[in-house]
Amino acid sequence: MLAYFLKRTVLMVPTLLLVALMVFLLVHLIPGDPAIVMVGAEADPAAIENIRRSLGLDQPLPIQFIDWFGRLLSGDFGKSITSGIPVLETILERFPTTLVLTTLAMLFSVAIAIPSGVLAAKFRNTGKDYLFMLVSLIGVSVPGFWLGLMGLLVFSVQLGWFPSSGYVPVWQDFWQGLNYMTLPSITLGFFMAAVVARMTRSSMLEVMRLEYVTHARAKGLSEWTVLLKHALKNAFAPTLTTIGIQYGMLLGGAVVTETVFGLPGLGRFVVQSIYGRDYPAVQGCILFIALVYMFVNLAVDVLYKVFDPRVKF
Amino acid sequence: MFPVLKIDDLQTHFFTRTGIAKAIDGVGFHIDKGEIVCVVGESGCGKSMTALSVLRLVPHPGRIVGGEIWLDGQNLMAFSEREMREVRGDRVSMIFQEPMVSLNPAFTIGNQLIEAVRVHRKASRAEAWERSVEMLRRVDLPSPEARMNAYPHELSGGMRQRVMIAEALLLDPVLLLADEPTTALDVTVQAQVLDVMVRAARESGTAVMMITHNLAVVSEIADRVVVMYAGRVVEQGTTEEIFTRPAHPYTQGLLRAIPTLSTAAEDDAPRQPLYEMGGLVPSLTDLPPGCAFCPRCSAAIDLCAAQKPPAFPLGETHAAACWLRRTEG
Repeated sequence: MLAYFLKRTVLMVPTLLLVALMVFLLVHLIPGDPAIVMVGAEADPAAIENIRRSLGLDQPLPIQFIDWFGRLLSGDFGKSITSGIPVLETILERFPTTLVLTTLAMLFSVAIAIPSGVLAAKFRNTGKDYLFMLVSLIGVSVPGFWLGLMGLLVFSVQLGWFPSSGYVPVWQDFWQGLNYMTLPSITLGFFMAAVVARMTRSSMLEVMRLEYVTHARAKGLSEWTVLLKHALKNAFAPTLTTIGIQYGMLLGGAVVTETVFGLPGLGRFVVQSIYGRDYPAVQGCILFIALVYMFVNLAVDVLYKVFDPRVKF
Repeated sequence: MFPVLKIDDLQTHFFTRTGIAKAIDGVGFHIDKGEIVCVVGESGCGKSMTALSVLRLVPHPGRIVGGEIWLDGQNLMAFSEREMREVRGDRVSMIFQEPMVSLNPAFTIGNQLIEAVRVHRKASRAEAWERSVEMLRRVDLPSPEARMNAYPHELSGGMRQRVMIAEALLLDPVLLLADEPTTALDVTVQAQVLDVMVRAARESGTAVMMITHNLAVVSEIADRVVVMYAGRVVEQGTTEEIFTRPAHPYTQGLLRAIPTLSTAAEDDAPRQPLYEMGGLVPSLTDLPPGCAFCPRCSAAIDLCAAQKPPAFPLGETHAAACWLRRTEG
């Protein structure tokens, strides 16, 4: 188990190198020059050139990459071009908000998705199942920003249930913070709920055809025990994989949600940094998110064993 | 005294897109207390569905559409779902064909056995554990205590089937439905597992409805035999009657299709090719109006194609559903 952990962690290094390379190239492919963004297009070309030199942007790309990645390995994410603050500092300051948002979104969607997937499987091919399939189809299709705006309009502006702007971190005032987080996490989690529910439904249907489910019924167990104990535990392994993958989507989706709801998370920081052509900030954030995603996937693989004892590490 | 199980004109049909498949089309037989009755017939003749019908666990899109099932004089068809749950696993239990897939891979053996006890009896976990270990010992599972914490995939097929037998007999049911319990096992362990099952059932006085297509097994363990074909009982009688005086052409064909080993003395005799029954089982969605076996039967008369034969008694315990056995009067 520990050996497996170590092996997987070591394997992350080459993955991280690849991600770093891709992020670096993509960021540098974005048209625009940070020096021009900083001083304006009408500035003196000599001044622009000066700034470029001070940022190391006059060097060839491969040199820039090696330089950046080398410092990265020692934990130095570089300094933001626009603010001069170390990128890692900003990431660590803003990531908790994103983590809370995505975790709440995940909890919300799992809490919705698993029961509705199980119910849909139980009532397969009936009106209830079709209604569920329709709602989940809408859930998959509706864009997050639209849902966020509609949520704000209805629940904050019209009904006044939730605040429409402002932010209190949950670690300062838990209930107040939760109040600010509810709408964003539901918005963010809605898509994931639809995907996970569909996965739960189909893997439940797959499992329910198997003989051990009939066997469980033949023991005299109630239908709910059969479904929730015998079928669900087996159907959960593929669902868990989906949840792991979807968590990555949540981290990405957080960018839009944080922007719509004005949350000071990592996602909004990325957007701001892209506008400012803040190369070190964008690269650092994306790399950090990729790292988080890798650890989530590792956690999923380890959890797998809980639901399927046949898994060997 | 009531028989343990009495099935009367049972009809279980499957409502599929291509039509109504009459998986069971008027089956009737009974099983007395402590008796071992073998139900034989080829795949798809409705043997397994008969067992699932007794537990009222016919899978979708199937449904019991007619007939009666009596357990100890109680009509199971009149039972509510809740009352049926009390019957399942307690008074009637079932062993499935594939021990590889009939135990839940996600739970330990102990978890599944203890659950089987506690769903029907007020027992502490410790008591249920004791009872389970005791039962595993009775089915000759080596080191039963250690096996309680094992997952099904850590056991061999034969061991898993012993676990299934132990679970099925945990609560001393009056009836055990065994659906080809040894078919999926290695030939070498088939006999042992069968032996354990029969011995354990006899010890607890449990009647057994054993589904099989292995006639060698039937001749060894059965008190009586029910022969099924295309969802109907074509012949039933004591094991001796079926093997020595088979009355239905289908039974006769089945018995002729058993390969025999020639002894040294017979070695000079010319070798006979193994008998093979011609034709195919009719489609269950399109059964002929008369006897279902008629299209494959070499002795068929005009009446066979036109009308379903009822069961004609040939003795106190022997009956065959064949027009050729029609008794006058």
